[in-house]
Amino acid sequence: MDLFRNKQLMRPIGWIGFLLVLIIGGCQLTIPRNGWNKKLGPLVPHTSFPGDCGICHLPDGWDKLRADFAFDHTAETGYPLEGVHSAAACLRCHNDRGPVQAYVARGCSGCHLDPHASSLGLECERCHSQIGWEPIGLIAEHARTRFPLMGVHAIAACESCHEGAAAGQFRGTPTRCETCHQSDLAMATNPDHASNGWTSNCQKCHLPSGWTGAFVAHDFFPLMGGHAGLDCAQCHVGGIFTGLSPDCFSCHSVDYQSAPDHVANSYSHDCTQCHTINGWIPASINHTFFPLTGPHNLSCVECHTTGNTQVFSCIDCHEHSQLEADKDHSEVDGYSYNSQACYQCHPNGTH
Amino acid sequence: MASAAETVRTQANITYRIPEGVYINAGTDAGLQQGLSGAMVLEDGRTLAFEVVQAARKTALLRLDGAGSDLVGSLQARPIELVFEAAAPPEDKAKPSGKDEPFVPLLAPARRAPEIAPTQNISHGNVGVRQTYQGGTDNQLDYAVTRIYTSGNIDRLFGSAWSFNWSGNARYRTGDGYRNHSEFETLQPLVYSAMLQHPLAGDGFVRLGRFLPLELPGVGYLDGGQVEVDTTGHWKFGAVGGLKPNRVSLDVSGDEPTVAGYATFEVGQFGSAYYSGTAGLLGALYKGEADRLAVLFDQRAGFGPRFDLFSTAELDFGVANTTNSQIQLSRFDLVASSRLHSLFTLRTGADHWQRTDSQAQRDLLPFAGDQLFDDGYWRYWIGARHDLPWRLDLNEELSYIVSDATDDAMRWRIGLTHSRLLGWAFSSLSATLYNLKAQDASGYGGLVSAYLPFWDTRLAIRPSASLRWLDPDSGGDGISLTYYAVHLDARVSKAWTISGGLTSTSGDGADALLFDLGLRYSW
Repeated sequence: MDLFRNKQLMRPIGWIGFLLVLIIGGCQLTIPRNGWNKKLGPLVPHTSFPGDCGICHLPDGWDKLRADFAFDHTAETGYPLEGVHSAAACLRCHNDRGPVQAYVARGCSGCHLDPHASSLGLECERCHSQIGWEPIGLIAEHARTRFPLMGVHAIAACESCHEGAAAGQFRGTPTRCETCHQSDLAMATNPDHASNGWTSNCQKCHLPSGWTGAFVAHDFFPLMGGHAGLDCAQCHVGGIFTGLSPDCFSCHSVDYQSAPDHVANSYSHDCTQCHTINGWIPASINHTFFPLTGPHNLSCVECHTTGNTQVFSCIDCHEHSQLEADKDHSEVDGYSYNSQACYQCHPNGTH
Repeated sequence: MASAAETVRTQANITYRIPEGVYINAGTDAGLQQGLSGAMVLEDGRTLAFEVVQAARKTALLRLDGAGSDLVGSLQARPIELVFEAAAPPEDKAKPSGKDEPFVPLLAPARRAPEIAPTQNISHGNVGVRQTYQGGTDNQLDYAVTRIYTSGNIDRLFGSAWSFNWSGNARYRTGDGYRNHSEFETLQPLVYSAMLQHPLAGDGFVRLGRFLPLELPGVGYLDGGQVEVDTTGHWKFGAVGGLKPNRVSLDVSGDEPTVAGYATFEVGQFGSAYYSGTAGLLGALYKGEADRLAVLFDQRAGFGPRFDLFSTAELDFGVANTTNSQIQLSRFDLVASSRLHSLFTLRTGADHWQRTDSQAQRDLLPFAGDQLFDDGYWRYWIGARHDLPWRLDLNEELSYIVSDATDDAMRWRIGLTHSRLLGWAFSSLSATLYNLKAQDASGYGGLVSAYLPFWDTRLAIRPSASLRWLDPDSGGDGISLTYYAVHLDARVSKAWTISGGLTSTSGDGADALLFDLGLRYSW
């Protein structure tokens, strides 16, 4: 409610109020409504009225209307006066500016200026009613258009989007977000929308409910597990949002360096061999390239005897005598007594 | 007009009845004269004899024969046809004066003309003030608007045939919601109409000032003049010219001089078989360059209560020196309605809009470029209304939008209104259900509203509420109440009206409360 302490706001309101009092006071003093003022002559052109003056007037004075004066417009003319029309002064319609029949034939715009200049069609009842000219239910009405009002759009003042609303201009308002939200776009520096080329298709990240809490459709790299809930800048360093590799190591090289034994043991840069997206720990190597089952269900160093996981040894366990091994493989072409050769022919570790 | 001894047939409506006869809305302009007699043909083919008791320019009192006088009670406002032998017009009435005859009560005793001062400066109108304030959980939704408005007319200016009509308001907008609006925290007057009008022969007229031509609204607001000539036949011809005010603020501007000529063809009688079409050619400059040349075409047609059709269209010829300037149908709106049965009124239509590429249009857009000059859209719709028992009114509509810029989903809505709740005069209760198709969101919406008048409509309460259900894929989690509102209109007296209300909106991460209070004085 700080608005009401705002001098800039209250000053014009004060002037408007003062002006209103003056106008109303002046009108009240000089202009009768449905009464009669001899100075004015007939308030309504009587040329089409019945000759039976007593329908409206008292016989003892033309300036007085009958107390029981009532004109049933529906019964007498066939045209019902509903809503605000029932309270309107007769002369607002029945005047010198044209035959009322011609007005009626043109519909509402026969009497009322069509501020939309026909751009919204001739069927005013789509938005307006005789109960009041101010339309209600416009959110439902807007659902007929290409831009149903949702989120803050249902709350915003019409002129926020329809700049010319006060002059009746509604058609032609672009439906694309960026056309109205140019200033928001210009102010979006964290992250910098312009430098990243995000100047259209706002709905990819934002919801109609507001700009903050933007949701990026990150399907190309699902933000799950440890990647969920992170600030964009944790991955997109320096406000760069394009060209980022989906490979784990491209972001997690520091983690790799600081992780125990990874460098020393020359662990693969394919982090997914051991880690999942849910976190670094627990890590469990995905050893499907060589099943660690049966007698191979061993600790790592049993095979990777040097500590380097890129190097392994079969012959330290399986056959300590090269002579025996050579004898057993005498009929195998290309046989060689080394662990790499063993793996070539026994990739599952079985005979 | 018919020559002497020629049989004249003319359409009219009975406007009023008194014990001596009936008044009709045709008079000397249709060839009727006092003492003339003829036949009145009713809608059902029955024929009554009539005699003109007295005739004015657009009205006449007819005395019907004895048999006819019993029927007229049921003929109120019904169309009739008069058949009579035309007589030569009296010399003193041969020339149209352009003015109504002096007021003389039609049944006034002979030689007793009442002494009534000349009619002058008859004024009716209203002036009001309205304050709107919205506060919300998000500062960007806060705004306040103060609006003072007035409209009215003064007829018989200083006893002349001139009349003055005005309409306008002044607004002051503030609050973060309007921070980016061009009229933020400025007192902006907006003049819709400030025009002088003078009748010409027949239904012709001349207008001067700020106005929007009722006869061809597509011309838009103009500061200038308009003249329309009534040929007293089926044709009217008019011309309008002036300067188009700024399209947003309606400030006086010399940027866009505009001229238009138009012709109106009318035949038949409104309420029965009727056609009215107005075609105009409009040309405009913008900052000294040719910018707009267009044909405007409005039509209305009806065949009694059975069929109504109206349309409006604009064909632009693309004379502007802009990239996408081309011949195009810039707007089109057609509504056809046929009451096939009391239970079934078929309604259908189409509307189209395509942005005209003119320099005036370009200067209105938020940024330069061609991307907003696309094919616009076409919207086709079909619907029906049913007057059901128990004062129920059911209506449905199915629409389809064809557009390059957005989706082409089918939209539907169905509404049910119950009038006169439990015999409560003028009251109504309405419910509307519709589907929602928005970018990345779909679901259903609903609106429930009521009109509850009290004390002979002196106080009216209008509550309403909106519901919504979004698909789970669109982030929905069941039915939600998106807003509720209550609005009151109170006619304190014949002159004073107070209106106000509040609207509470919630959901979608933003809540807001809107207050609205207005005061209006009418005279």
